[in-house]
Amino acid sequence: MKWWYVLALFSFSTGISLAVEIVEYKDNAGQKRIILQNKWLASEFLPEASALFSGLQYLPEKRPLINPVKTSSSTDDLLPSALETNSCGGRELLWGKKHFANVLFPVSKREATQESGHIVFSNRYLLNENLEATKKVTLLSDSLYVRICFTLTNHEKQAQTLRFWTNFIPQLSPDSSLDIVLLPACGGVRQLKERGVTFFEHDCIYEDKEFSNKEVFVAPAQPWMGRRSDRLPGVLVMCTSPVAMGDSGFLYSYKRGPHSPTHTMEMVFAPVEIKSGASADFIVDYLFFPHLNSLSGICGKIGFDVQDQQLLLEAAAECKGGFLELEFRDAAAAELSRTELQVSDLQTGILQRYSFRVPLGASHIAGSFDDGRVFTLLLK
Amino acid sequence: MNKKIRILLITLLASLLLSGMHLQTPTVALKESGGQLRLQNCLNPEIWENARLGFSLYDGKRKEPLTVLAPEYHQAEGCLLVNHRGAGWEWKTTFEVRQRLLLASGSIVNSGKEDLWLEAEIFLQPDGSTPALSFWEGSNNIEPLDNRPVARNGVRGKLLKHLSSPSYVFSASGVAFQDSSLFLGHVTFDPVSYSAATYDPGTRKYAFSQRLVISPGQSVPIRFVIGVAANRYGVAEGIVQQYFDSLPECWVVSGGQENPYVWGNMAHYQNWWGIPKPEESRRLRYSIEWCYCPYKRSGDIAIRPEFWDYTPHNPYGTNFSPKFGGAKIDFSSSTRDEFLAIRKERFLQYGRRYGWMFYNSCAGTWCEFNLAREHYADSINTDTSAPQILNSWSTGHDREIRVFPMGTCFAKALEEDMVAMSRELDLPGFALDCGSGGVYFRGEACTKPLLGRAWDDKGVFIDQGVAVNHQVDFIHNINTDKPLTVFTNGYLKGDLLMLEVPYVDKAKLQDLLPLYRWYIGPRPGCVHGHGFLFENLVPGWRNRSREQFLEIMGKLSDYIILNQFKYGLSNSYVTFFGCPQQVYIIPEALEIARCGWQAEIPMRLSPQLYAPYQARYGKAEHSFLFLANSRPEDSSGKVSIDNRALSPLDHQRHIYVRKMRDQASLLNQLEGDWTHINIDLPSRMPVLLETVCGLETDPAINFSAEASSRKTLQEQRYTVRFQQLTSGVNARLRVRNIYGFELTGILLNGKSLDFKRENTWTLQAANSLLLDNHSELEILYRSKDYAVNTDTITSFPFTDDSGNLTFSVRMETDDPAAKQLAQLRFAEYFDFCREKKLLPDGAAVDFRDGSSDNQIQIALQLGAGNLLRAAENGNIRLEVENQEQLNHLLDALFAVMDQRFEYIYPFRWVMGLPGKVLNHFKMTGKHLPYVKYFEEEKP
Repeated sequence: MKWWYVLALFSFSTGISLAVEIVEYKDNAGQKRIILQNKWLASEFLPEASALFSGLQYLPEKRPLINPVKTSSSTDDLLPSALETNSCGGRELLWGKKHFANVLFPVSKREATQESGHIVFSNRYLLNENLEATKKVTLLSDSLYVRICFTLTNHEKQAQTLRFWTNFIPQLSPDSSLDIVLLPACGGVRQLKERGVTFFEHDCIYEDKEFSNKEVFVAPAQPWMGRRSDRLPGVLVMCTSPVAMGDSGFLYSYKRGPHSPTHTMEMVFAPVEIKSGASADFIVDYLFFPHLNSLSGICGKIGFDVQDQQLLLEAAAECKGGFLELEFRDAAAAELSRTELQVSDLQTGILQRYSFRVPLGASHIAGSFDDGRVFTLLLK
Repeated sequence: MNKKIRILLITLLASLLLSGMHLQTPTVALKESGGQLRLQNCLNPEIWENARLGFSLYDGKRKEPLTVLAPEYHQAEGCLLVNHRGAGWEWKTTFEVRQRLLLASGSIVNSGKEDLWLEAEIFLQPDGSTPALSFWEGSNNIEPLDNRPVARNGVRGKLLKHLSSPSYVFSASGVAFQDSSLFLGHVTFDPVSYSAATYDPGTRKYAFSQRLVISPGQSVPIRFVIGVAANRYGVAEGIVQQYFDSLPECWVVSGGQENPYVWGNMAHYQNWWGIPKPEESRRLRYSIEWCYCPYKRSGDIAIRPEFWDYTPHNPYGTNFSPKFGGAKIDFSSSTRDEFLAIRKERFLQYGRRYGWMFYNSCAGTWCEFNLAREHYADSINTDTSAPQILNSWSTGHDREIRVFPMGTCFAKALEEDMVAMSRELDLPGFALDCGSGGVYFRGEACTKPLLGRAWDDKGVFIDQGVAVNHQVDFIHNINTDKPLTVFTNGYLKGDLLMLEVPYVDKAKLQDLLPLYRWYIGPRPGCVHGHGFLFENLVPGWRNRSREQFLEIMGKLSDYIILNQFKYGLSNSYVTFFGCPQQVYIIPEALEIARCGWQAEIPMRLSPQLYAPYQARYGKAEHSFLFLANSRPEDSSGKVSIDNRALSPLDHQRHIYVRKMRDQASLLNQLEGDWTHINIDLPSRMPVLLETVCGLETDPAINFSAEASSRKTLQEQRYTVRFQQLTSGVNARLRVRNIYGFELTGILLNGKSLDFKRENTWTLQAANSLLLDNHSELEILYRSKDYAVNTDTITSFPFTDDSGNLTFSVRMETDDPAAKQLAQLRFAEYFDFCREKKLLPDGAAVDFRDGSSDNQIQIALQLGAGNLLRAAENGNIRLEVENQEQLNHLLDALFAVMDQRFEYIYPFRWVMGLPGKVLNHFKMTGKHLPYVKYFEEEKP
């Protein structure tokens, strides 16, 4: 059964119209799925497959942003029956630890109100280690972003150093063509602590779209990764905090092959030591900007794109505007020029467009709002 | 008279009466008549009787067909020569019968002044109106046909993630009609970068083509394969089997049956990362090792001085820390001289004994990024349809770029390096990772008159697979006196082929098989993977009980065993430990693999018999058949074996007995082309049938034969008692050669018959036999190693009741090296027994000069029989000619001693079965139960 039918049925049958709703149903293979949705987004998870982020739909256009995750159960005289899923969606992993795709990660808590909703999944033995994991998915009522807070509790007697790793395989392009993954790359870096990374002369947005580079490791200039399609508007972003990436976190993208649209977005966080009995939180936001065609940077929940002497802004949740100062800088960070804009308050999912002149040789733009919010836009 | 034979005879007679030339296989005849070639269907002419055979050429530069005029025909010694000429080119083709199919081999000569870009095609157009049912493009899929044309263009198949390149389609294609298929293809492993197969149901035109680029003055060889195959056991299987039967040279193993490395198990890094384990290697039959990246920089296997100092993309130690035979290598601190010294010492010490195959930078297809750009720029492969740059691949610390190892600067350097390495390190062979094709090279080398050049819209290219096969040939020719072995990960040329997928990864196996297996063919192969993948298969294992663990593991272990027999790919220690059944079946699995896995399994089962696992090894009188039932309950029923499919070139019928280690018997019912047997398939148990003999008789005569076997260490004795023969029947008898044994006698009713060797696997009675209703045939084989029975060895007083050694070894030779070898081997044996607590700690084996009781005597002298025999006073005597034989006979002795000092490998941490799982279920040091199901067959 298509899950939006389930949502519609649910709404009709209950007669209740909460701003954020939670719906459960079983798919054709009998697997339970749970949906958290507001008027903008419907996010779906598979509790029996490690709480896989199995669906994300932009509801105003009924546009799926993740290819359907199909499940099947194998049967064999001699092999244990196993739940199988295709390679789509989002999952949380630990770098250096083996991943098992189909672990039961049951719902331990759920709540939906007019303002927000959340679902909590729990697993006492994450990856069969003596680690407890909870995955809290939160959606605000008028927002275009889903927050996942992954909490790890170390039940070992010793401290453990762990590297949180998000693996996300959405699909924006129709007809299975390859999406472009946007990586804000830090210039001048050849190696992070334990890994070589692709070298860039200066900070830039690297557009990963050629199959020849099967996989790319990038030192992050900023703690996010984006994704766009050449066919349709919209930019999907996976974002965390600079602290989470630290000085050894990296961005990674992998392509399966010329006949596959699989193109991953992956962030490997800096290692974190968790003492015995202690916990650590890892937060990732998944933002969708439906009207942007690319991304130069983000500031809170605002996405910026610099295109043809224009600055495009779109917010994934209501954001304050204000007086915005922009400094154009070259690759050596020398200021080339500056400009100022008055930005009106941003409504969720509404594009704003401002004209300005990008000087020749500009490599990036340092932006600051009058209330102290600062950001950097990287040019291609 | 059998209908098919009648048709065949009529066809033959008609052929004789007709003038003109003709070639005949069992299923098809090629005729020239009136300047036209026709293929005549001898298998089922009621479907189609004749097919026009034509040639066409397409000019890829001008994008237009070339005019191909009527050819000249000549006949010479069983061949039909066809010669086409045009402006600036000549295409000569010689048709000949190769066993079951027709081979059209020839060449195209460019006599013009420009490069020729040609697509050379052979096409067939069968008559009749019965529609074709399906089309086989050469992949795992058979495509049903409607009225639309179908085509397969190019050799690329699915991308294989583990090889970073696509699979190939098989070198043949087929159009399937009811009961039979018409097929066209090229000879497997020929240097073909592009081939195409098309069928148009409207015109019934079926074509197969190859693209070639030919320089002025160049002559390029080109071969096609043509045939008709029965498809009752599978469309693709029937065609592939004809390839196996007719073109065996494609699957020849360097050194054949005597290759010391390829017919055992792979050590799976046990003997490479760590110090090699001599006794474990012997007990688990490790004979070869994949020596991963024995160099610092990808692309520089020789460690050239000018390439030593560089900055790798990733820090050293990324992905893995290299260890060569237990010596840990730290590239950040090691000097070049230190590194070379360690490598040389280790390879000379262990290389030959443990079959160390030197990993040669992924068959020369990947090279460190800057090394390639700075020194081998002409070699960089720019095809981006497959991964071109990998940031952390073979060495872990290097960023690597795809290069092309044929006709390039890199190929020249690699080949020089391989020659140098093979000499300096006395290498037994090379390990070729990424032995795959489907990636097109378009660099400068494509302007050279190399074989394998093809063209497309982007220009001239050579497929990577052509270059890898070239490297395999190069390695085989480095030392023709002592040929090197090639261990290939992929589906191309090589002597042992690796499938880098564990048996338990069912989805991946289904993706790759049987196509991958068809390419491996009768050559030996192995799987390489992360063992049981227990945590993947049982993700919620922490909620399972110990009993459930035992049940799951028992099934997983049996799953691996049944698949091992099904696909004939050897396995490794990663699933052996804790699963003694897997170790128990090693001798049978390796023995039948020697006979060669086959594509077509000509068996029919009665409906009640459940046997989803089936396989066939060998052919005709040296066949093994495998069946297994994977359900919890036993299954019984009738198996009908199609002798005609097993022995397609004659009317031989076969008699089978269950393959057991000690004894077995089986009633065979021979009816027409069929042998019927009733069989019990116990739950989850491999059942093997072995041929006792092949009898060429009038197939119209039906009879029964009770076959039995009795086997000891020294002797195998097979008996056949004939029944239900209403009259005497003449028969030509063939029996199989058994590896490790020699045929010593064939007796009919007690009377000895003369026999002669026919080929590697077959011996034939010199004269035909007259069999009647009470005839009894005995076939006797004698061991080449043992002239002693098992009890003599197992009851030999090796130890007293406390486990102290009580025997001595006497060396009847002055050769100190032989004594040293024997001392080492005995020390290794008993050190292992002590380490594994089979015996208490104690003194070394006593080597003494004088004779005494409780003695193992080793006589080394020229002309010795190379035999292990019983001596006076219960002693054991090894008579050998040289050290190599001494080693061999010590292996033979120890193999029997293992029954006395049996060691069951318990569960321990391995890839795919972590310690935390074993600890959770309290299974560390324990093992699954096992049954010696190849022994003591109960009637």
